[in-house]
Amino acid sequence: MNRKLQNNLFYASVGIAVFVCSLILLFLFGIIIWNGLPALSLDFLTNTSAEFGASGGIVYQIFGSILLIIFAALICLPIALGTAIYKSEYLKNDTVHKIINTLIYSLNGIPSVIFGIFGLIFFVNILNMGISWFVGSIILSMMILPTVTLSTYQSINSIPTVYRESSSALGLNKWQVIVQVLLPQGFSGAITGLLIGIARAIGETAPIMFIATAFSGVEFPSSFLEPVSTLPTHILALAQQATNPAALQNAWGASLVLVILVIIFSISALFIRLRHQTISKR
Amino acid sequence: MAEKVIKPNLSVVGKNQKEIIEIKNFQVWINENHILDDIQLSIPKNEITCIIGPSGSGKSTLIRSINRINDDVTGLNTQGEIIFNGLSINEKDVDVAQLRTQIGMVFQKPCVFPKSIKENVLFGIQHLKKLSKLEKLQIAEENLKAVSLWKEVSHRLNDKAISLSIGQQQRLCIARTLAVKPEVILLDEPTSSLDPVSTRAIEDMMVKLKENYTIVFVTHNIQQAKRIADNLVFICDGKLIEQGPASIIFSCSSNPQTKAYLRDEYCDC
Repeated sequence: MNRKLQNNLFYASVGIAVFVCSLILLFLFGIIIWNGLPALSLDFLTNTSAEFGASGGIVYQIFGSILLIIFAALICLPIALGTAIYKSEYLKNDTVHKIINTLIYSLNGIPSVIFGIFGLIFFVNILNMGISWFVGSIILSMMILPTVTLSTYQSINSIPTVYRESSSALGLNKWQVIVQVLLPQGFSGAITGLLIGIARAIGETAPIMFIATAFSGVEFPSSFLEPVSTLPTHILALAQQATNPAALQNAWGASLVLVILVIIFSISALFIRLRHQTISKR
Repeated sequence: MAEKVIKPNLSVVGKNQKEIIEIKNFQVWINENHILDDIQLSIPKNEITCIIGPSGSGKSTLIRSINRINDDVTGLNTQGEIIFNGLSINEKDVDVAQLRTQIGMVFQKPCVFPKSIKENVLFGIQHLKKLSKLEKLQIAEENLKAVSLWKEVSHRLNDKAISLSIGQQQRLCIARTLAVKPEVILLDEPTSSLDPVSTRAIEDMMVKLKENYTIVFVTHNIQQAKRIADNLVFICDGKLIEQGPASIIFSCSSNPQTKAYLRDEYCDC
């Protein structure tokens, strides 16, 4: 085989890889939009579900999903911020650095169903909290903690040392340097990580299906200890009655709404990151 | 924990009123590297002390030890004493943040905060005390005038500081340091990234500022030291080779190493 042919073959195979990759994505989006769009209407978005989801809308599911991730974000952010600041600004011991990194990466590698089982055993069985959306938020916050922590750490740690030195040389204490100089500049990194984490958490089914959700009969929760219904668990329930065309139709509709929510979070993350890059380049 | 407040120690001031900083047997290691070896140095009040030496000689490490900004360097170890106004600054219980309000520092590369010009001038001082709107404006004007930047920026105080030229940014950094009202200003090669005009402007400013401040100025530029220094300190390979009044060292230094460096900007010590 001559070198020119080799070169062309290589070029063709990487091109095919890109083509297959885009095709899979387009195919998935296409199917979801094609099947989901007919189910989508204002009524579908604003009505409550009936007949186990086969008719009616998904307003409780949208509400439940958003409630879960908002509280997951609120629980996660302070812990992630604290860990990131400690790791970047206070920790000098290399061994401890490595241990913390290993812990964070291990936490990221735990399969989501394990989080669900942990939640079931620890919160529901041992602490006896019952099926509650708040427990779901706690579990989701644990799941997104590594993403948010690492993203925040990277954005704080990449701020040039000269900013730390210039502000401490003016007589600022360490915490003033952190709060006044590092956090404002590192904040966009934290928010980007949070949005990426949220985009992942909103689609999770396994960690919350045993502990936070009910498939029917839920309303707006009036306390921290009530179940909600969410989009992914609703889709799961509808898929189990796939012989009913109306239920299947609504499953596609709910999937489309879920995908749109994920895209909104991912694109906001991208947008904030790009905006921050242009600011720091200026 | 009770922190030591840095007050002039009258017994020391009484003995020798002119010296504001005394460095005694000072040694620095970073990991295994012996960066500074047995430095003995005194810095007189209200004069410009220039520290010269080839790059890598330890002059930055020395000046960065005077306000303990080196504290965060990993693997740093020091021995010996630096005495400022009668207080040994390397003691564990010294409040370094307070020390740095009395010993300010300007760095090689200007570093403005992503805020307005006015907010940059006020950045240090407003964390030390509450200021009224009027006081803020007065402080901004006073210190921008001191660095002769007022005429250029008075009409756009609320513009982003990053919009200034590098030379203007460095003068803004000096104004920001002056606003805290330190007694000593340390400058670590402040003009090395600037154009000749801005460099001259900063040199002229130093000569004016020494009326009210003690200035320690690190430079690798011998001509610059000649223009502004009252006292000269020559450091090479972590050792202090010679110190004394600049006029004497420049005209008739008896030390062969100093002579060689001043002549060739090179030394093999």
